[in-house]
Amino acid sequence: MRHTVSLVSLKGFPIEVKKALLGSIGYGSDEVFVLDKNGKKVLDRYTGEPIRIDNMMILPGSDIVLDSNPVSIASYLEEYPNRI
Amino acid sequence: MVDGPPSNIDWIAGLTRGTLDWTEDKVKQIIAAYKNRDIAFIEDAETVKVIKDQRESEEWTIIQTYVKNKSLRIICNLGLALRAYETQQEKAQVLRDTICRVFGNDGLHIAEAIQNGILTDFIMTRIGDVQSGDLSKQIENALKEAHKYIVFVKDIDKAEERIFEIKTRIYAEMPDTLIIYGCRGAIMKVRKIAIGLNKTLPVSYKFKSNQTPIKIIVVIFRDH
Repeated sequence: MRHTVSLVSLKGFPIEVKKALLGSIGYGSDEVFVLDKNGKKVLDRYTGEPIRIDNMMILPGSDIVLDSNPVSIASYLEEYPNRI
Repeated sequence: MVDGPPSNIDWIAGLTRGTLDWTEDKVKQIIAAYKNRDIAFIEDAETVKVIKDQRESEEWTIIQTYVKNKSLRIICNLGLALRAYETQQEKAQVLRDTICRVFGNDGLHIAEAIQNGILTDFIMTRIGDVQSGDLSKQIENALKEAHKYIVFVKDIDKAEERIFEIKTRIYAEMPDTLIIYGCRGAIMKVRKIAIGLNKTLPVSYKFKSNQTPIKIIVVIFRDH
């Protein structure tokens, strides 16, 4: 049986909780962008653009943090059709 | 009944309703649930729904059958999303801009061709005439060079000028396929252009068309 992942909206999450979530998978934030361990902006793997903390998604699969835009979502679904 | 901590289902439901208290324990529970792949997080769940809905459409089934290239499939998915956003101009424009930034103008042309249903019309026009594998190749070639092989006609276009332009393009490139598309006020213009081209192109080029009250697609293809 396929494991179902519930999608949880980050709208309404306090920024501290978002930062804690990011921290748990090795990322951080300057409260605008998602940052890596070295404090550099993390780029969305599909669009190559910096990921804003107020528009991010954290998806299954090697702690994938992406920008929540149609291009990244379509690309993720093409790569991992059944994960979300 | 035994009292105990609330089940995962209870607090995930609380999360999705936004009624959860943000205690340290709850945050730890959320992180554990993510690590266990029970939940994922998204700022805008509606966007995921729009993209996923397109992938469950009949049109997507057709696209999946014939379009094998991953990048093209992503653009096709986005083209269908553009159609879903037709009544939300701001979202449509943001999506067009993003497609253009990531996939260039060519990507945007492809997405707009999908948005207008050109690909499925093309498949319906050619299905039965060619082998499935050959049709896949024709489709992918036409999409990859949509700017060359898909001609959008507007009602204000001058038919003679478009005939000259398309004829020049065909003689220069000798493409296997060329698609002419027009909607509403441009339908009669497309018909006029097709008639004009039919008189002047080599006989090896055949014409097939599919017209509805709101759009027309004319496929010109080389019969080897």
